[in-house]
Amino acid sequence: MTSIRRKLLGWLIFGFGAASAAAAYGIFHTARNEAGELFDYELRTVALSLPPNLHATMTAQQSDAMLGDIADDRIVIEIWDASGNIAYRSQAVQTLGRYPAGLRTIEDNETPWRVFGVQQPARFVQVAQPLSVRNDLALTLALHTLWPLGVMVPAAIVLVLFVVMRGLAPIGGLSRSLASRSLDALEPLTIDAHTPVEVRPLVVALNDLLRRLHVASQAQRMFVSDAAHELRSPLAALQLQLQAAARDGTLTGSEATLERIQGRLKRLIHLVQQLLTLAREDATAATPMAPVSMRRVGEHVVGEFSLLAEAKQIDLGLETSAARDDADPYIARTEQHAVFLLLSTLIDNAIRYTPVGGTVDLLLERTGGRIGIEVRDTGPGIPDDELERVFDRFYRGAGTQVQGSGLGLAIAARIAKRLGIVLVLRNRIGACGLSARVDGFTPADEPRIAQS
Amino acid sequence: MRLLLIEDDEMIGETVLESMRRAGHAIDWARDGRAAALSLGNDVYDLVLLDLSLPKGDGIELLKNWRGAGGEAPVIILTARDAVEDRVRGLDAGADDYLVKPFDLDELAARARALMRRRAGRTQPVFSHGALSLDPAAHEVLKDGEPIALIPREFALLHALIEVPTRVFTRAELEEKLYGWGEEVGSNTIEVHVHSLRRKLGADQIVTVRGVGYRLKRVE
Repeated sequence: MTSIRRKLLGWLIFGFGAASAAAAYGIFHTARNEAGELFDYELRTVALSLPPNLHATMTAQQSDAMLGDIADDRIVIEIWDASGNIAYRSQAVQTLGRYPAGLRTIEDNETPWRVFGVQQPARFVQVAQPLSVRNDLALTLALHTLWPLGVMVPAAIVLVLFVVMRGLAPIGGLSRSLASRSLDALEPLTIDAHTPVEVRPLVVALNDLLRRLHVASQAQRMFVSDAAHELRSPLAALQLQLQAAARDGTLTGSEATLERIQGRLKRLIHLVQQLLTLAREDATAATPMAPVSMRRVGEHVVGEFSLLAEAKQIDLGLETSAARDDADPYIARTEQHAVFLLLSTLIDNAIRYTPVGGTVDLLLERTGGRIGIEVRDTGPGIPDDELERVFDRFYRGAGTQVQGSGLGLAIAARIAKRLGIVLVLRNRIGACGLSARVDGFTPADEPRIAQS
Repeated sequence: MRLLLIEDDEMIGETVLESMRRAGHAIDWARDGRAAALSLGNDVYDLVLLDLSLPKGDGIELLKNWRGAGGEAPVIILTARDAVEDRVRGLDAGADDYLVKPFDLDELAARARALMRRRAGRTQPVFSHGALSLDPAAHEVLKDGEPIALIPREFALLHALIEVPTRVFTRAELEEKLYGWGEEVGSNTIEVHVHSLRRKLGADQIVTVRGVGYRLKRVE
């Protein structure tokens, strides 16, 4: 994957590192050459400034005292008198041959030396120093000149990291604001004074795309809504005609056939109704929240479905847990009509799928300071691999015998999303049946509203 | 009874017209806003059935203008618009009832009857549900035609339930109907009355809706 940040960082850090290495190499060599010249100067100075009274008979201590620090640098001094005999030798053991006057590098016993010889009126002085000593000293010197570079490189890398991060922050911000959007948020991104000139064309292009998408999705929603709406009148006419004809006997045929036609028609009407509800939910973006008594809504929903449940001999009831008292209203900040629609869908499903003689519970709960609602039935449940798919529009479980539009759970999920709550379906553990949980209602305790 | 149907949809109009005629009512049919305004101006109708989306005029405007001009007949709105705001707008404009398409012919007939009853001033009709009937004026309860003796609180409880027999009443709602302000209500008084009512009417007549309240049993 190409990443601008990685590329920038890579090139900057690699480039900077290479440049620094080249600079370090240059500095190191210059420093070493300079140090070499300095040492040559030292050799020359030593040779020229040797006292004239040095004798071969002097002990090393004596000469050491006279020559001071020179010994530290392992400088070897040899003096020949006019006749060519050794007059002085700083070290008893080590001897180098006599070389012509001037500076040169020689090799003695596989050790390279730097030698300086000078002809003086009564003697020939030769001063020598092993190259290894000079190299060590030169290296130390060169390294000393390199330390600021050593500090600068990490500091510069940190700076590069920081600058690259800062420079790319607007792009990061843009992608975060896009990523955190909900699927339906198609309003344009804001361009303000903080938007960099470089990112602006991207935002403008994105906004144009969002606008076109918005128009397209709006048109689609309008179409679904209009279609559902327009289907209502002919359906109404068909239903009325059928009922009127069945009543006055102009429609002859078996009672069972008539009933079946009525059943199919009812199903068609239900489907159109669900389509319209879904289209309306799709078109609703923001919800004005207000304190709502969940107990009241629960009672209302159970009341609405009470007759249907009785017809199927299903025991439908409202249960409460963690109630503060007998009349605990379970007040949450939400939207009443939407919660009613959501619970109706869940209860309707539960009654549809629960066999005759079963039980459906609407359970009000308080967990961790939040209000939750659960709809539990004693139906067959949903196979685990279908639990996610049942929220898809028009999806109907494999082998489902029960009649339905396939839109109920899609509507429920849509409402849950709009209300900012979580809807989870799972098969009950330790009992047969399905549990549909709605969690995350924010409690709003205002006793005045509870009583109104 | 003379009705006015304001509806632009031919299919619905024909069926409603036919079935209302069969039921013995006189009914006129206005197919657009202008014709409707003219017909309403005659002010001879006992009940108006109004569709909201009309050619040549909006139903809500039509209703408002007519009510503003002193039109008094009850109005049932028949419409495909079922959003809560639409209902509120319709009722605010002066409608007495609101039916969403596709509606049931029986339901339309029942609502029309209820409106006519209210208009006739019979505020206390005899309620009947299944085997039970309750006459508020005569303070009489019959089961299968046999009178049943109830004490006043039991009568009030049954009255509340039978008024809307399909509805589930919560305990709090029943307490409100049975007891006045400031009256001390015991914690299980409603249960006691339900128990004695069941003893007198038959246990299955009143259904307990778990966690919510009571209603009358379902009648086919």
